[in-house]
Amino acid sequence: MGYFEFVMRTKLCSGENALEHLPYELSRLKVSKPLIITDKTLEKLGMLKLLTDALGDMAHALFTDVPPDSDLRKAEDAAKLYRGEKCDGVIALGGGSVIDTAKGAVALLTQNASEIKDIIGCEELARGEVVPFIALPTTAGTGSEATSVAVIADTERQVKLEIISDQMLPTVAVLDPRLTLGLPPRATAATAIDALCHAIEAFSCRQKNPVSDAFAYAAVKAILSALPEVIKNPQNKAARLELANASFMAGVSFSNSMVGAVHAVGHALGAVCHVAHGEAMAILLPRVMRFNQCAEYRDLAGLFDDPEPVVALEVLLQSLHNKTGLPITLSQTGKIAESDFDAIAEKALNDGAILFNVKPLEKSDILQLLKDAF
Amino acid sequence: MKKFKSVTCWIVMRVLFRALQVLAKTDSRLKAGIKTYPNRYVFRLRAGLGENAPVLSFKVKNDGFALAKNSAKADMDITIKSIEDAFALFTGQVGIARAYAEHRFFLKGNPYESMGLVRALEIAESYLFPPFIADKLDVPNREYNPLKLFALMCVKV
Repeated sequence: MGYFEFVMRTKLCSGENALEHLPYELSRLKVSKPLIITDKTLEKLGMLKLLTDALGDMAHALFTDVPPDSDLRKAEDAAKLYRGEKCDGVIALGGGSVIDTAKGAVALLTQNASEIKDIIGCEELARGEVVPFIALPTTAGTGSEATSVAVIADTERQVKLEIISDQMLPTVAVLDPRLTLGLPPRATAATAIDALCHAIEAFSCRQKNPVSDAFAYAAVKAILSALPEVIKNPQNKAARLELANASFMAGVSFSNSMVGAVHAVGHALGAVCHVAHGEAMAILLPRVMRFNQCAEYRDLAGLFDDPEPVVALEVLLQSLHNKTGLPITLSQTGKIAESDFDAIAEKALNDGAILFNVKPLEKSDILQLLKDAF
Repeated sequence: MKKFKSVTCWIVMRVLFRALQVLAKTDSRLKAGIKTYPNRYVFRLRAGLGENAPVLSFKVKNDGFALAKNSAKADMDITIKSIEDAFALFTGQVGIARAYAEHRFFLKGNPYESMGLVRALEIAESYLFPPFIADKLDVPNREYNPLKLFALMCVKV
């Protein structure tokens, strides 16, 4: 008999004009001056204006200096700004990098710390100061708005730091289809496959549990239904929202059951060759499913309309490749040479996710996966 | 019963440390893995909460492991959440990977850096436990006969 834990305490506000509920949520949380954390691209794209319009005349402080990969100095700077501006809540508007930076800042604030290196760890942070934290994802893929994990780079030392703590779970997540409508087709496909990967790996990995299974199953179902429609009609708000809901559910799922080899190797591909995360997931997911061949996949067969889900997945990926240019082999990314394989395999073996894969992998297995995917 | 489990954990932790010390010099995977940590990197393993919980502190020294003082600042501080969990782990009822997956411990330090230690512990388990337990724990294959390890543990390596 095993043992599992499940944490989910984020309030979800999802649907048309969900953003307009923000003033109510902030007043309920007694936030009078939030710190908005976002990036300059989203500011230029008008997303920030959507948010500030929803806030009306509420005072706020603004931090837009988030790089494409979250950095510990930025999280520390954001926390410093929060204190200096005497803010009383954090709003993160953006993708995984922005939300992870905000999580880092929130963790610092709750723990009354000033440096990320003092708070890194796994399930180690105790309850601290209350910092209301609202996440507004602008992609439907990372699920970061629903997870207890933040990955923050230490660019000076060239290492990634990880904080795993339910103290960073957003208090509220707001999914408004307006926030993802402008996402280009290839990025839409890549982020949705990232969410699909979260759900499938959560459903099959060693830490799976009956509660996370329910979220994973629902996420797979929603992605398979909404993704083809969004690619066909990117302005379809209902389908966009369904994808955002699915990403949230996949986030809840993998935050409580972890991911596996697809993510371990995908993280290594990102670190060594700078392959975009969602694209790495699209390339690796079917190969790892063929390697694992676990019984759990058959439980998803009804959703894929095929007794072998991996076959249906390959058809879906081929279609996404044809319609959006999403790469489905490593060579199509144009960023990898076979001489990189050894470094990628070494890095993947040191990624925590490898430990949770349903079937243990040795370095030779990873090298074979990479050869097959090339 | 708790006292018995606590003493058992203390003994197994010492045996485990000695095995790690030998394997760091004789198993190619540990030899390579230890190089990913800087010299004087300190690990601390606690079997349960509270001041009387068994503790093992050791550090990386010249591509090997050496005992460290329990008062030394640890770079990686792993605490098993209860003595029951620790006993299950150290007697082979639960593997390291499963203990990780089941939230049976928490850690202070960079979780990315914990993987090398986790793998080292899994490799040590593959030598220390009899095959019928090691197979159940899904640990990596051994590189040589465990009797050789036990013999090397008794001499200076």
